[in-house]
Amino acid sequence: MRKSKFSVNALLLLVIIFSAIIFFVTIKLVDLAYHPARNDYYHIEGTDCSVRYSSLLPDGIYTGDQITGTLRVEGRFGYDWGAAAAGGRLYINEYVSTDLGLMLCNLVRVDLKTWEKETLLRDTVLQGACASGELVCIGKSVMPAGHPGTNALAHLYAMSEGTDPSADGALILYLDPESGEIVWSVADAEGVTEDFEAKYLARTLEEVRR
Amino acid sequence: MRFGINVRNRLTGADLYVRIFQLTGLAPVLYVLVACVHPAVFTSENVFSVLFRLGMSALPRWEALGLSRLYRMSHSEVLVCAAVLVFALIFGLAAGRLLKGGRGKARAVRVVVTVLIVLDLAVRVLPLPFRFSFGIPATVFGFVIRLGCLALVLGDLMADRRNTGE
Repeated sequence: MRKSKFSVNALLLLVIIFSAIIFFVTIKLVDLAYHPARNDYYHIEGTDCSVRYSSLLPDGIYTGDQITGTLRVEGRFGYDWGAAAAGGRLYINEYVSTDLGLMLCNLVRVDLKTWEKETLLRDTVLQGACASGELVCIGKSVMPAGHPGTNALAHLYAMSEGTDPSADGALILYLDPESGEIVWSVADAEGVTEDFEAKYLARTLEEVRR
Repeated sequence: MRFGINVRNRLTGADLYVRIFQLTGLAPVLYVLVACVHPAVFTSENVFSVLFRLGMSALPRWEALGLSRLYRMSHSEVLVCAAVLVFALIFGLAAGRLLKGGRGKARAVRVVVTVLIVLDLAVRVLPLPFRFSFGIPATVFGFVIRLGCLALVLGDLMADRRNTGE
């Protein structure tokens, strides 16, 4: 009589092979599909730097005009949420995407003389400067484009930090623009999505502390 | 390398534990595979995300934490899936070999697995920040699964002790 055999090991081996094919095909295809032709150039206020998003040239921070600009730091940087220059250094958001498009953001500091990039805070979004000049950031966060409330991968990402990306309260950080050090933080802060500007950016640090 | 066991052979509790361990690793991979072809699964709670949460919660906590750390460092879901699957395969092959490699070895494996599960359960009840990472229902499910696994392996150890006594 023929012996029927079932093995989870064999099943796993099949899944590994199948997954390898799926990952190769889909991630390569998605990679090709998400490269529309573009060449955007955004000036960062208060500096002579610009951020370029391009399908022909490397993304990054450039100096000079759009035609003859020189690449200074390569990467995907944000220009829209309060990049700030202070003391010869530029504080700016750097966007990082996972293989499947979970968007993450790190706060980086770029020396405007040597063009060296230093990651100051991971998973932190710089939102701008408050009325008294301190930089205001949201810490331990996953970008809204990553659907942190429902995306199970975002929860896996946050697990080892002991945070919950779908939690209502946020961590607000105030940084000294000269030293880049955290001078004040607000845990479980509310009103991050609706009136962030009025609550945290339009007020001075002293007012927020009160 | 030999794969396959005769299903008519009676599976021991430790054998079942190994298979449960391996199968719970497949649930999170399924979510990632579906996300590859249909990224909209990220935008709402669905059967695949529930499977992901249940599977991750049923894995040993140290493994889930290791995967989270790996994901954080590599930013690669592919690497996370590869780690889950390869580890489950290696664990299955090694445990299969050891459990069938004589009474002494099998007993040692069961004792080690028992200690690891007890430690895992202890970590799950301590007030640690990552305790409810995948929601309370998934956490409860994971605890029950791990408790069931402990019962399976303990049952083996007790049967082994009875047989030795006889």
